[in-house]
Amino acid sequence: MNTSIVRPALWVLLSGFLALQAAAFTPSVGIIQPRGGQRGTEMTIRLAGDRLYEPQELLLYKPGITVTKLEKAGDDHKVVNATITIAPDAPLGEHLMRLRCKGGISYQRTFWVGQYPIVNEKRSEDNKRDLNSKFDEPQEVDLNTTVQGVADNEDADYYRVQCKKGQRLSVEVEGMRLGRTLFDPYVAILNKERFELVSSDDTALLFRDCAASVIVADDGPYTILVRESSYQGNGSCQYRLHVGDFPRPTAIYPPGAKPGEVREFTFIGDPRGEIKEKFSLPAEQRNFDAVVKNGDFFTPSGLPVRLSPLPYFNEKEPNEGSKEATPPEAPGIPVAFHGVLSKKSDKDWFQFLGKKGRKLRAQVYARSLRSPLDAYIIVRKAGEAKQIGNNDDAGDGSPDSLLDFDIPEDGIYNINIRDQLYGSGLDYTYRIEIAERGPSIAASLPYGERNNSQKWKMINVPRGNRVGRVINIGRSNIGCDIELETPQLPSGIKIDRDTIPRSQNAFPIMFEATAEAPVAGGLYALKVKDPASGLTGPFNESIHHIEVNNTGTFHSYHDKRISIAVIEEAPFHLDLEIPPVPLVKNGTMNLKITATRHGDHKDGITVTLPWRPPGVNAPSSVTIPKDKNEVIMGINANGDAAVGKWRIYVNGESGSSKGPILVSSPLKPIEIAEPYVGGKIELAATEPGENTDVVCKVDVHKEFSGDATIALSGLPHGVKTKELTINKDSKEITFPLEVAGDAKKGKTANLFCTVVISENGHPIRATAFGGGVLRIDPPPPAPKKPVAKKEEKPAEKKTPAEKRLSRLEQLRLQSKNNK
Amino acid sequence: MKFLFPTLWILCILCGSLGARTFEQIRPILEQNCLECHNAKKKKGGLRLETRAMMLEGGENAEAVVLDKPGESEILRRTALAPDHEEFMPPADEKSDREPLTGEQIAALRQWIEGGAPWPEEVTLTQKPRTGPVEDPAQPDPDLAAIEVHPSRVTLETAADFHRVIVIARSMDATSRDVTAWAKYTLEDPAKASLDGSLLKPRADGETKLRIDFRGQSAEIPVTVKDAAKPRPISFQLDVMPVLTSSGCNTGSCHGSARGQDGFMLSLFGYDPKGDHFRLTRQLSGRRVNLALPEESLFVTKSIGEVPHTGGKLFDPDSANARTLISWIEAGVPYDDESVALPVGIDVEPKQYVLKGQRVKVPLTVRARYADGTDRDVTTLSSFSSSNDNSVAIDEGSGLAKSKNRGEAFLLARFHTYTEGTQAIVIPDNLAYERPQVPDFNYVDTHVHAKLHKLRILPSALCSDEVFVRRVFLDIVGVLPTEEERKAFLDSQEAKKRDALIDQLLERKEFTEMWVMKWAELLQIRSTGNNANQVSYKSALLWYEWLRDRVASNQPFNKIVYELLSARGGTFKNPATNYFKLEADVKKMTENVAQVFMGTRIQCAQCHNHPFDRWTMTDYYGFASLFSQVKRKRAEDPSEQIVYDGGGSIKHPVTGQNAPPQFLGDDAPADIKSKTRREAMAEWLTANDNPWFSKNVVNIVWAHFFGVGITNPVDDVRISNPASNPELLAALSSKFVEYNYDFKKLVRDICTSRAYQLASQANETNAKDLTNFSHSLIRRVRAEVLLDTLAQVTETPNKFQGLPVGARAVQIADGNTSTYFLTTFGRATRQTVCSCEVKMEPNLSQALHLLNGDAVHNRIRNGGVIGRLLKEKETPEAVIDALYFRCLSRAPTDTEKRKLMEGVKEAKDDKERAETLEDIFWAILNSKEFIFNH
Repeated sequence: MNTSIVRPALWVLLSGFLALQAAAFTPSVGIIQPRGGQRGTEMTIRLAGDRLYEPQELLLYKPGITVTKLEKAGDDHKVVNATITIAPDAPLGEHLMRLRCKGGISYQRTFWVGQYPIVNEKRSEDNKRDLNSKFDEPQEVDLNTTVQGVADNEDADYYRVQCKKGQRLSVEVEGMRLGRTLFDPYVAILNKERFELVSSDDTALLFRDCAASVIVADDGPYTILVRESSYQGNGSCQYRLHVGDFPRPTAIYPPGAKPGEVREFTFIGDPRGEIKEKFSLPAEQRNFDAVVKNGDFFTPSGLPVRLSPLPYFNEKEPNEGSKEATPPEAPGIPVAFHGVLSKKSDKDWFQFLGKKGRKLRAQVYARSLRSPLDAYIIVRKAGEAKQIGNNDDAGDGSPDSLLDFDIPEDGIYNINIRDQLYGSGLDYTYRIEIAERGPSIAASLPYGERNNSQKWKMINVPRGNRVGRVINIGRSNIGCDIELETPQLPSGIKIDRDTIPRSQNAFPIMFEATAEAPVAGGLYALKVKDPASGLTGPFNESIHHIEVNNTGTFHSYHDKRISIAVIEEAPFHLDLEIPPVPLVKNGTMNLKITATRHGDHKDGITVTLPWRPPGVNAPSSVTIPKDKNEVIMGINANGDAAVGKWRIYVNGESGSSKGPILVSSPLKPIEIAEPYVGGKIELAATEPGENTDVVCKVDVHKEFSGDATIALSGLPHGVKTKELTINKDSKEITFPLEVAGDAKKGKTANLFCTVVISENGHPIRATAFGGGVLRIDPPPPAPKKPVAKKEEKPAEKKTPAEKRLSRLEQLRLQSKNNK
Repeated sequence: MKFLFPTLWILCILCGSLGARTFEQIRPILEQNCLECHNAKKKKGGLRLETRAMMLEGGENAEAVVLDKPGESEILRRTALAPDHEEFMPPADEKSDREPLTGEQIAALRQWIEGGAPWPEEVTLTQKPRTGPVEDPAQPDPDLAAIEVHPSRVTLETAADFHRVIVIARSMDATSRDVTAWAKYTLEDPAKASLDGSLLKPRADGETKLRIDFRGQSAEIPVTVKDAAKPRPISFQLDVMPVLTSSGCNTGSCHGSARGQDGFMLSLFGYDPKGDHFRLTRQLSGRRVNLALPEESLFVTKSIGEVPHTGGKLFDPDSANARTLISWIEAGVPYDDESVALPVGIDVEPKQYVLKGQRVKVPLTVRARYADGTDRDVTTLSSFSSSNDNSVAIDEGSGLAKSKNRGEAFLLARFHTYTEGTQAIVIPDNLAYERPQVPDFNYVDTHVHAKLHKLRILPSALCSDEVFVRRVFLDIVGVLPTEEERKAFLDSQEAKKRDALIDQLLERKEFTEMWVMKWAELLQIRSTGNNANQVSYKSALLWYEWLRDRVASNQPFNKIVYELLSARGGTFKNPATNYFKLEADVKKMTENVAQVFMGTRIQCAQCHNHPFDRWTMTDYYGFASLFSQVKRKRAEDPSEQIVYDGGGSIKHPVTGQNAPPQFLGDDAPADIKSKTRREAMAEWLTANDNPWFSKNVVNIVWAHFFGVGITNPVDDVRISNPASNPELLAALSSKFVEYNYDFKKLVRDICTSRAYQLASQANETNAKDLTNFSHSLIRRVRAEVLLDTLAQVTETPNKFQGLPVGARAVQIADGNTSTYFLTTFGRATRQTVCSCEVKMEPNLSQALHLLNGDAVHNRIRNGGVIGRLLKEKETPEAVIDALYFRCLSRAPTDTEKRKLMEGVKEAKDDKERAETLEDIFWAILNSKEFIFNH
């Protein structure tokens, strides 16, 4: 891990109480200014935000920057100044930073390393407007400078440089990449007559950012225009404009190589033509950023080369058909192909050997390596017209193609590639990898909030306390249990977790810090593993610096490390009490959550149940009121809940004057079980004012001790009954219904019985059975001759009333009575 | 009344031989005036006049003719009564539009009766239409230029075929009259065909000629007879369906309604014959048709009114229509086999009528052409309508048109899915007209003047230079001339200074911007939101810039449209693709393209054949099929989409089959080989020989300068809404093609024409003319231009989103950007392709906004124009002059100036004087003259 960590002061372990006085939780850093620096220099950067108490260190994701001083600026804890040294060989481009304070780790923010001296855009004294908004009043800058400026609303910024005839003038803008706001820069190089020599808005190479390069025709001034592409900038639309005579190629060929290899690459697209350069490639399997230079000055951003151990073949033109496919001898799998769609409507063909039954994946790397190509691939058996498969886009938002296919029989197979719109160009480079579809697993932290991908991405564990997370599991081509592996963790932290069953794609884990754990933190690479096969996978972090609701993401950062820290003691502990009885299907249960408050913490605590076993529902949150220490959360299991033993926890989030803090309860076991009692409600019918019975058949699935109460619910207005009891031997139970004269007429479906069984002094509540129907019919018309018939009635008397009449018998009796 | 002379002349001759009235001279009087009621069917008053015996028998109350006492003849008594007398004959009746007999006719009748009412035994009279005065075909007419016979050739196929010939006489003054009834017909070989009046029927196979003689002119048409002995089998589609359509059974208000009528539904205007056959014969078995007793079929008895029918009686039991239905049922209600030759078009003749005076009646003849090369006279099976009842009315069933007031009408005949029309012009019969000697500035005037001559309309005079300079500035560049520009023009002594000014204006940037705005409206360039499938502001802006670059670089307009319609790629990378992002529905996209680029609305044909135009559902879905392969996918940038062409097709809802791609109006499948369907469509649309595209564009351009299109509205080209001057449209269109679609040259032609430079003051003849460009129409200045001119004269720059201060409203890229002012004055929201989006009608809120709103008042205050003018010009008079020049491009009249100065003089000090001048400025800006271009 190439993290440079500086601890400017030895921190002293203070008592919990004292720490609470000093620290504040959840420090927030909004922005780092300036937005970048020049390598080989020392500078002070300003991290502005909130609750920046007791800054401890900057967590850095890349080598090349060291922090020599970290101190607060002012007493409002809103700004921290860091003095940093940028090494002369620090990687160019984006450097991610987090600030760790005693109260936690901040969000990730970006800082950009360049090679040129930085000048600021000239602004009026009151800083309300810039002074370079007119072509005739540009800001003079030297070649090989980086300008930090702002594209305000309807603002155009003009910079003038003096060039020599034949010189290359290149510009590149970091705008969207600065990761601050949705900012789409536009850049153009204009001559004296205001004619745009070259302009750039969006580029395949830089996405929404832009770069342009031109060989100037005359000695003299040239003007560079920077603006928001549709004049919709604002004060947050900062940019870094690199102006220089650096090369600005748009592609590199081949776009892939093997790790550790030494080989020559061709840079394509620079106005001076191709540039060849030899590189010793690193030994790791990753993307390598290739930069090329003119004199001392490199391209401001590199061109990615995919490093992978696969054997590869570069296309040999002509390869427009099966017979000319590259390479002449079909290689086996796995294999990679490289090419450029350079001719008009170009199509490139490759061949490989397929073995019957092999499950393969063809994956194109073009746009992911910043090629303008929008690939479209087709796989066929050599000599056959029938396609085995084709693909345009993988479906993950990238235009790169991905095709999973199976080999039907041994033989030679072709894959051909073209641009989806039949486009072509010298920089339409691509790499195709064909390999067996292997299994893979990975874990990640879910996004905590819409448009806020960083929420809950930092694991800030208070000393002597715990913080839980539900992690997402991704499995591809495999179904397996997953175990979390923790090769490194901050001292004093352990993770309480269970094996994640194959059925689960999200599962809780618990970070726990001992009371003695030192306040510390950093970036840690965790892993996941299939215990059966030994397959491992990374624990990924994906952060979207710019994300627009309903549209998508515009700048993201991915890493295989997550940030974990031990922080100062939290002002409360949380505990979860689960009754020692199972939660049965269709049952409910009350969870008791208790808070132990320390010091003078009184604020309300919002309690959530972040993970529920399948089929279990809970309210989105409950609150432990201010000054109270307890709350009940009612949860329930539906009929499809997964029977078994699980562990759950609750989170408690409290906004105190020291900033919001989240702690969790320990993981506690809960059992989901089949219901003890089932049954059926028989249909009942009556008339208003006529009492009746509802008979229920009772099935006891699992014996229980003592009596259980059973209640009939869902009765219509005007109908009452009473609660009864059953025991393990009950077979049938009859609810006497009191039907009022004004009872609601009609059919009432969905009567149900709830049973409460007591076990170990704890209730097991459940809806045991339902689906009952009660019909209250309007009374029949009055009998025609009631008086004449009266004589007959006594003869009937009350027949043995003990025997309950079936519905049919009731009807018979009724019709008899009516006669 | 020119007709009168020959008539009187004939009558004079007749009068000369008193008592020698022959039956042949009386016959037309009876046939045209009396037989309509006194026939076997109607027997009005118990009287029939078909034979002499019947006439002598008399009616229920009196003897029609008393031979021995001619004076007591009822016929003479009644015809001589005052026209409003209740016993007057022939009675006035709106429907038949009978007119009183003339004095000559009554005299002739009297003489005839006095002469013993000669009437050959064998002659039975039949009713004849009263289309014109009696004419003697043998008597030459020096005024007659030519006779026209329609159709120009007759082919009679099968025994049942027939063709009625109509003969039109064209006078020297280009007016026409129907002389069918009076012409003399001679068949060269009577063995081949029979002739009943002008109705030809087959006799034997072969060829012959029909010679027509009329008053010194003659014509000959070939007659071909084929299969004279062969009966023609009854066809559901060829015989029964036309009866349903011509009788109005399948209209939307009757059984053609989506839910049918009284439990019986037919496809609207017969778009689905197979379905109609099913509903008639099988939907309710045994109800609608009775195979055993065809005459008893409900289908028949309802239509002849024998049993109650909500739609009433549609035709007589012994009519041809009823006979058709019955013979179809007798034949066992067959449906046509695949080989049946369907109509491929109709010809309506004659193509043009110029009618002089009121109540001139002329017929139309409709001939249907079938796929197998045969044709039929379908006049009686067609339905007719007039675009202007006030000028020419037409009988829906018979196609007999009648002139009314001065004006122009388009007479339409519809048969099967085809609609064709004839232009009819009515001119007053006592017009003192002489073709004016006005010069043609260019070809535009040639056509405009030709049309005006036809209408006997005199164009207004040329407008003054003062008016011209304001008009041309507003129209071409959308700004008012500055005082200096105005003066330079007025002072110029150049002979062709108007042309020079036009050339100068065409080179200005504002000209391009105006047209970018107009095309942007039609392309609906607007942002709809920032979601992935919406058009973002960035997209809209890029798209507008795309259009602007092309218009500015003078790219031929057809190339721009080709690029747009065949565009593929990312919506940021190739912004023209936003056209397909904006509208994702294939059908709406199809309709939009037809409406914007062809000016025709095909929406109706989505569900049924177009009732007033040629479009069928097959046309619609064939054309839609060309758009059915447009696909969209997400680009890497989540707010961008990629538009491309994939597979897919659209189903014809009646057949349930995929509609083969077909260019609109073409019968053959489109050639889509080696190109995408959209490329093929765009290529066809923008080709030089496309019948729609260039005409539509020139019409839009024309409408900008004249306030009305040659076809108006510009996006409603339809057979029933023809161009007011087709020759002009065709000439402009071919010039536009010749100019390689450079509309700058087109605008030059339009603006340098005399027609454009006419004054708005009308004369007696053209005051009512709004469509023939005989004078300049007063037009409200459109919203953007008005706001820009307001900003211009008050010197208060505008500020719009995404544009620098001082930008003009005309430059706003996004249709979604608007201000209260622009909305009130009807800026297009670009939500639809309709040309009606730009509202040019003045309304109250506009007036109130100008009067009370901040638009005018604040601008006058903020601009400080008055203060500056006072300093520069020194005297209030000079300031008033300057304001008039600035806003109205003219000097104030003496009266205006005097009255305004009275107000100024009342001011006590400089401050008050300035305020009064501000009020004057305000009043000028609120004047109609400022808001309108005249």
